[in-house]
Amino acid sequence: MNPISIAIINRHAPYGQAKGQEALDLAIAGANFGQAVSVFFIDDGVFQLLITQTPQQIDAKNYSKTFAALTFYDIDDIYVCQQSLTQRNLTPDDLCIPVSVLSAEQLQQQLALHQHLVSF
Amino acid sequence: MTLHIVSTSPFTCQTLGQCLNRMTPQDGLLLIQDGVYALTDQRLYTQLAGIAKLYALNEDMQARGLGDGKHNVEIIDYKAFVSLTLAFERTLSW
Repeated sequence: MNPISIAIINRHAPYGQAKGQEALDLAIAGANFGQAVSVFFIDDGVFQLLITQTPQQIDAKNYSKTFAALTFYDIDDIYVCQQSLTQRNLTPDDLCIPVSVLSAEQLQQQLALHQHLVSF
Repeated sequence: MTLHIVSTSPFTCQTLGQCLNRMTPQDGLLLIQDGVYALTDQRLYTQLAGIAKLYALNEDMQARGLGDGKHNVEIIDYKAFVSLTLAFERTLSW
């Protein structure tokens, strides 16, 4: 059976709701079932990757630590929207893992390569 | 060729703008729930008018008092909604 390609798209900042954690759970579950999972961070979703997060202060778990483990689940395609970084005065150096930064056009092309798109 | 589905009002939420930024000319846009209010947004009028495949769900438009036929959009019912999801290669619910 050929693996299904799934793009998981993070669009929201990390705390206040559980979207980020749920997206991460789905990514890992998908990879565990042998599917080809890519993870995208666009708009406020890029805030999930900030290396300087200390959410213990607001009694939240720092699930951004898990992003570094994605490679052990064979999730190596992590994409970030350049425009979203720029709008928020961020660079890839501000992020907790190495990512592929995509222009608006590249982002459209990359998303179109996937069979399923799931947005959080 | 992706069908983008937006369910929130552009007056309270930036989702539609973010979606429009990332659509290709081949993509379709389906407005459902509060997303149908986008058809009244004067700021978005030109941009929405430029979308070749623009749809809105009839039930949600009628329910919100927008079913007066003055909006430039293809109005569909639930059955057509299902067909649309099959006609496009993939869907993205924003």
